[in-house]
Amino acid sequence: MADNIIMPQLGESIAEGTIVKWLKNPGDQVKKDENILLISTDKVEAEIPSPSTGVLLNIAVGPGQTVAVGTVLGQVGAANEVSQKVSLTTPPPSLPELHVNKAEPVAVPVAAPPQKSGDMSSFFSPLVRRIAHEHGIKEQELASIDGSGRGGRVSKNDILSYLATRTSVPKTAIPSLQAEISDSDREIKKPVSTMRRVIMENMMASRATSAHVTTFFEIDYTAIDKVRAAYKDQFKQDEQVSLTYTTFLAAAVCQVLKRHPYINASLTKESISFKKDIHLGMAVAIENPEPGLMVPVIKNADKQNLRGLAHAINDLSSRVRARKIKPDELSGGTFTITNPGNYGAIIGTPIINQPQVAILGVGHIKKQAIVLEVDGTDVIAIRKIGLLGLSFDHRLVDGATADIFMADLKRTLETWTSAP
Amino acid sequence: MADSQKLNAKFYGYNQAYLPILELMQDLHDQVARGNIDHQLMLLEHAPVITITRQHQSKSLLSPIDAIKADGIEFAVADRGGDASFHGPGQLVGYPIIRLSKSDKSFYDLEAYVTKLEQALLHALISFGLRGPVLVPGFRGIWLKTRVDKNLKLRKICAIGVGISNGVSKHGFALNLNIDYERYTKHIIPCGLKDFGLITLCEAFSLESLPMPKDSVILSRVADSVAKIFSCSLSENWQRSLDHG
Repeated sequence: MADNIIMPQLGESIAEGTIVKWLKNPGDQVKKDENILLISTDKVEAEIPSPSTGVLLNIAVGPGQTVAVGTVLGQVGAANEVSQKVSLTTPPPSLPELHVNKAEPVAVPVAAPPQKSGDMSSFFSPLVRRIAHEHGIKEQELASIDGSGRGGRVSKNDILSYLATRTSVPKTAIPSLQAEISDSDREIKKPVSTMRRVIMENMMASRATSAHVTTFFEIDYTAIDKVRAAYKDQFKQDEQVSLTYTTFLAAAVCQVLKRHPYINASLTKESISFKKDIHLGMAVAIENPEPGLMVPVIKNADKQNLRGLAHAINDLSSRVRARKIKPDELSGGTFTITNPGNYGAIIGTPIINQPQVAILGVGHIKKQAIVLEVDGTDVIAIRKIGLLGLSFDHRLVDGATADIFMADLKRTLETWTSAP
Repeated sequence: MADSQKLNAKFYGYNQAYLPILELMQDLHDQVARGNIDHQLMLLEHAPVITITRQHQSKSLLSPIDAIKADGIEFAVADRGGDASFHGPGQLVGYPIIRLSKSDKSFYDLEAYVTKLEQALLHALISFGLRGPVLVPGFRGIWLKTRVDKNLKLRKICAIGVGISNGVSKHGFALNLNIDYERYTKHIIPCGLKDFGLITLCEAFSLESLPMPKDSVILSRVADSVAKIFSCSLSENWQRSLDHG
């Protein structure tokens, strides 16, 4: 009779545990109370002992997987025992108190003897084929599994343990321990870096969380340009940092956000948090040692004047590029500005930086010929024009709310007179 | 025969290299598991080291391992729970090696053990008159409430990471006394938590305008508190180990 190894109850409020590592392989002899696997829960790594003496028949849950308390993790039984099919994912309906329970063996007929003696490694029983099919294992991969049965035949246990190790590929490899792997002359494979992994996870999590919609506004930066042209040289001399369009945009966004609480907010299923503070995230592209992206945050950006903002933007972006930024400075933003226009992009459709609900993309600013009405007459004028795109979370922000915010931002920028 | 009600606390000194202490901890752990010796509480300060865990691997590393080592910081994979952590001068590390009890049918209550450790540390800190230390549901360890521009900000003052093997605990807690944590946080995201800062006991005392006690007083308070929460009495030679530490 096989004994199930069960994810034990680890505490009153702990509902699940993660498999860190199996200390035994299927087919290994184990003694009762000998440690056979490592599990982990919040802050604790613990060894789980075998429920009985025998052979580890199968592993149902591989390393890296998190399962509910009560889930069958594998089975221990006699060497010649046919193990019960173990569900890979489904925990029992109730949480058992016991961490050992007896499983009745299922009457699975032993596979019919082979018709011919010899190498049976390429013969697969219907059961093995079904399991392979369920897990997307193709013929070639199936043939690569080492069989422990007669003539090298792959048994159900073989494929289950193969599946366990197949899923046991560590979720995160250690980048610095991995050499650059060149698969062929025509490509170079590199391990995914920590920064890239964070970007990957954040981007997909945001797409999965928010209902992204982007609205575009055309901005006439001529008013900003006048102020900037008048002060930028003196500013650079006094402050040793440049007076950029981004500085004005950051200042304008801070002014306008105060009037539009739905844009400076975050959302959960239960509640909306309207943020009293304005902590402005500024997306910064990194080039070395590899391309990447970080979003440092100017805390209480609305309390800063143009000079303060220019310094904050310069300081944070240079420290991001020098990889001297502290984790604390990359969190807590309430709204983000990203600047694809830096590279000449007319506009982009940015992904929201969670848990925020909106992000402003700044398009390339350049001189354009536009039609203006002056004293009732249409004239062609040369103005500094650029697009702004606001991606917003349509779960919280309605189209009208977003557009009213953008119209306010447009008006603020186009009528700007404040000197730095 | 070991006395289940005795806790043999000992201060193992300052600036201790990580791996030799780990070996000693494992040796004591094996002896406690065999019932040869009393429960143990190792208290010490490590030489600079960054540790990761088998579960989270390098997930919370910000620098390559070579860069960490080049910075004079040892690197190790620890057989404990939790995520990346750091130890070094100015941090009190405690490794309680305690036999956990379990009823006949259930597994060890790991949650209760961690909660007890947290409560022991919290009581020790509060006993100095500090009002800032708190436990935060859902986030293990001891936190300190601080105010930044009128906003409440929680900073971590004590991290927890535990291993349980053969029903006996190992590893434990790391309490920041006056450690230069920025030396380490440029290399790791401590505990894998990005949105919180760190703080030291020294800063905590300064924020509340209280004098920072001497190390020996802090060690005594922590050992007393751990012994009390596990219903143990401290062994007679504890004070002596402190005097010679």
